[in-house]
Amino acid sequence: MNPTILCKTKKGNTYLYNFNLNQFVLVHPVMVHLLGLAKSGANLADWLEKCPAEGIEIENYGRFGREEVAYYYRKYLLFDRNNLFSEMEKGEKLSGRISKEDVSSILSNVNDVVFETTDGCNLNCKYCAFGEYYGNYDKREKKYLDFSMAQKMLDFLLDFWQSPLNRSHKAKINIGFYGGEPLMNVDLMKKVVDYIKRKELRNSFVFRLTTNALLVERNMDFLVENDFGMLISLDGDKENNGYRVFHDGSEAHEEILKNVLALKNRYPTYFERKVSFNTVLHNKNSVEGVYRYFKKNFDKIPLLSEVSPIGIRHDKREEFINIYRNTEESLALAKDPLALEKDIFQRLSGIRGLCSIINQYSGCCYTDYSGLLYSTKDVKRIPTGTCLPFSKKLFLSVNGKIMPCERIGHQYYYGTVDEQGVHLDAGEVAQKANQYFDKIRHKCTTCYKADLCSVCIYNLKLDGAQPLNNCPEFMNHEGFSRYLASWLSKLEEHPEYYPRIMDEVYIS
Amino acid sequence: MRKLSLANLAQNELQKNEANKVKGGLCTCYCAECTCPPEYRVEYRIADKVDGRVFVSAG
Amino acid sequence: MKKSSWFYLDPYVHIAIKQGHALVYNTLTGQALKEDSPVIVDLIKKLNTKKHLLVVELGEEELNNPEIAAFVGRVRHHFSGDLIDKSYSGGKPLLMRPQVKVQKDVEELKKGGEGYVGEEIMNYLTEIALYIDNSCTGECSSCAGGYRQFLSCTRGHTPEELEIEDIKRFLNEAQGSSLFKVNILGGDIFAYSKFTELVGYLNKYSKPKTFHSHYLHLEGREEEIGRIDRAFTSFSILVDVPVKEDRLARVAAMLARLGLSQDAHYLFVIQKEEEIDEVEAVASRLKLTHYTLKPFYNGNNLAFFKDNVFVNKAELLLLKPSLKQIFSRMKLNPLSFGKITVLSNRGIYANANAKKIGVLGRDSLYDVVLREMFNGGSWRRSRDRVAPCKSCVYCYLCPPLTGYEYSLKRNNLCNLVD
Repeated sequence: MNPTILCKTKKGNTYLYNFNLNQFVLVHPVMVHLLGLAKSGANLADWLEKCPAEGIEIENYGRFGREEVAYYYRKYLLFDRNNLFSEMEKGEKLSGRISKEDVSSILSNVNDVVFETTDGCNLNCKYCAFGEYYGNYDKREKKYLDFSMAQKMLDFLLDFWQSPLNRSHKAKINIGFYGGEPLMNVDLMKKVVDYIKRKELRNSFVFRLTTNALLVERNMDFLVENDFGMLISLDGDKENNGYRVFHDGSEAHEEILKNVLALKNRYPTYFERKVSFNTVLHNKNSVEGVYRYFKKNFDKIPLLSEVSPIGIRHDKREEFINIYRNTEESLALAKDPLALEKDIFQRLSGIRGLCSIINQYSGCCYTDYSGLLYSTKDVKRIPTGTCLPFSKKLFLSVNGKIMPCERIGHQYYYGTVDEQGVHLDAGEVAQKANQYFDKIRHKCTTCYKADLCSVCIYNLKLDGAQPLNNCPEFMNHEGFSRYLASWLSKLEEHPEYYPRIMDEVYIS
Repeated sequence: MRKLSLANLAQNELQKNEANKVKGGLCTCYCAECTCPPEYRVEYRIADKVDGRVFVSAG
Repeated sequence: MKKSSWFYLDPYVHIAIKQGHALVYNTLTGQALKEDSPVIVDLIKKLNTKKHLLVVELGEEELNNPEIAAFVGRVRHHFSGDLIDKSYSGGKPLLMRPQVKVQKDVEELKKGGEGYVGEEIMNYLTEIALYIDNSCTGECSSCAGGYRQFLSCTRGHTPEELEIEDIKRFLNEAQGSSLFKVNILGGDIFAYSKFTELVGYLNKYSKPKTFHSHYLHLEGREEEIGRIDRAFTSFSILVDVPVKEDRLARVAAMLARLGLSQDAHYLFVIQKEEEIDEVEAVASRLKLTHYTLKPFYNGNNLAFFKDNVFVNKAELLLLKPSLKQIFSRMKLNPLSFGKITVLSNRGIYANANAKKIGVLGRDSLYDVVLREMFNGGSWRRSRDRVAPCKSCVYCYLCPPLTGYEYSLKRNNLCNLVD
């Protein structure tokens, strides 16, 4: 693979990105010309010797004398001496496989446990991940997670958390509750909280939930007393919120608002500190509209999501395309998109994308101090952007399935919990995970975006026995060049974003 | 480079550290930050406008 | 002369501006431009701002200024930047000005929020040195402060020993860490009352170990050495000068018999210039393949240090530090980061010259690592924190602070700044 990518931005500046250097360098038209010659196989030394004194004519840029051309040739040689042009091979780097020991180490450091308290919900939102548009989840049967299952899961993890393989000092562990609507099984939540408190562990625990707020008022004392981080799903005003409806089809906005205001009025400090809103963008709302609504009513900026395009049922595609809205496009329709973008900033997917680009390609960003000290030359990676199983979180579904995340198809479980106990074997987890990664590995070794892949392997079709031949984000050299150019163009439009992101936004 | 120069001494120590470090191993720090509260999946919509939208069907 | 151009510095260039001087160091060539003229230093300052991000517009007037034109010429000649005609594109280029960023920066984590300082902190621990005892019958002249300058044994007056159960507990806590070296030192490690039991434990401990010993202590210890499991084990052998060559030869022969020649590393302590050649000759005669020379400051050999140890500019540039190495020196001390020392008095240190950060048997390894990361007194002790280095443009090109600066009671062990 060619480690040197030329990108030309909208403003017409040409940059060279190089994987070995891991930086962008501005290039002069003569250098672009030389790189083009080298790519076509010309021997530059010979070519320069034959170059006349008047030099060369480059279309759109003019004439450049021999001396100037020779200067850029010397710069080219400097780059060559620094291995900017040595062939790059990704196969070795992406050949990483998880071992049983890796899984044990990960389990000892799980810092996020999410319980699906129930698959039942008191709403019937149109775009729900478990609703009519999607087809990759276990059938919703209004089951409730039994505390004994949650307890078994916690006890299993507690053993791991106390082991010396845990790498944190007084590990802070997030316990999340998900659903359906988690508050419909608030009993379970109370039992889990109580169980953990009674254990008096060295670790600290932080509780969170994602809720539609309908049952917040009646449970707010419990939630506030345990300092729950609360993410409330609300799409804006009554009209915006039109897809969040009761099972009889009536709108739920009034009832939701009643609960939210009750919480805000009773516990204003908690509300300010611990409550966030999640807004889904669709054809009934807009970025500008929701921004104003939440600023005015709650002095908050909501997190903006889009309706997920993963797992859409074939017969629902048309309808889905109709309601789907893209954050960037919606933002562009605002009266003053720039001012909005400046305020919403890292909550916007476009800005977060820019943060990722800078984090990966500026050559300045390191995850932690160890990254600064050691070379990553012989460190291997698994292909795709998938997290190693349980390294981000451990999710227990209402059916007792142990999964790495609550947003993936329910067929991708690594273990189970039942009356007999927890069935999660490190060796089996490793084997299963490696089988998934082996399906796509060959494709990733020629992909230029492999270092910044955002594909989650569980979103690809893994059921067949054959390796996968298609990846939705595969990028060849040309595609990657356009990709980088588009981000650089954005930065050229807003140069102030670079120092702002470097100073303000921390990715963890 | 003088043998006992501080620069040389430090360089040798640093090279020793690098050599001592456990070779290979699996990179555990990278992933696409797909979920986790309150963050959410990173999207690359600007790039998608260049390459066209992508939907993955349930099949 | 072109009408208007973009003048820029390449992002693989490190810029340092201190007290009216500027350094433009090219990480690809290893060459540096040092600028002292106020006009040029101002221009470099402007280029290095967050507003300009390495790119400024130079008009005809500026380009006609001979000082600026000469500077532009120097920068171009060094391939540290370039001049590009504005007409070549429709707008100002954007360069990602180098600015080191650690996503899990401790000072940021301290501010609160989702992250916390203790998260995954054991990843940072890389080396432990245990001074299991302090009794020694030797008379090395470098004993008094050697261990403060480099990793070596030391002797005490009142006999002290670490409790073996404390050692085991401490090392057990490191299992999840990035520990890649356990150093066992003394006194005379073979005089440790529970040496056999310790070896038994370490033989089962999965991390690499290095046993440190003065060469004379190895005499007659063939049996004890033979009991040490060779897998992932090495030996560091201290040799003071003058060398008792025949005895050193016998030690080398013994190690060869035990098949340990490849795992043995000799450390010669040098206090005078003449000793360098002397030691090289001994090493050559005894055919020692792995050895290093370490200078020792004895309080009276400053001249020797000035001639042999103090760095000069040429050496700094010869090493051609990369941008990543420069970044690492901004955020931490690459030599001391991740290292913990436990002295025979049970004191736990991140640096033998700095304050205690814990007590063996009382504090857990987790506590100690957190304390050091939080305070950063040694692991994050960079030259920009100390005088006169913090006012010097070579600050990050210089090697990190070592034990020598402490012992010589000066931070500028160089011929760059008075």
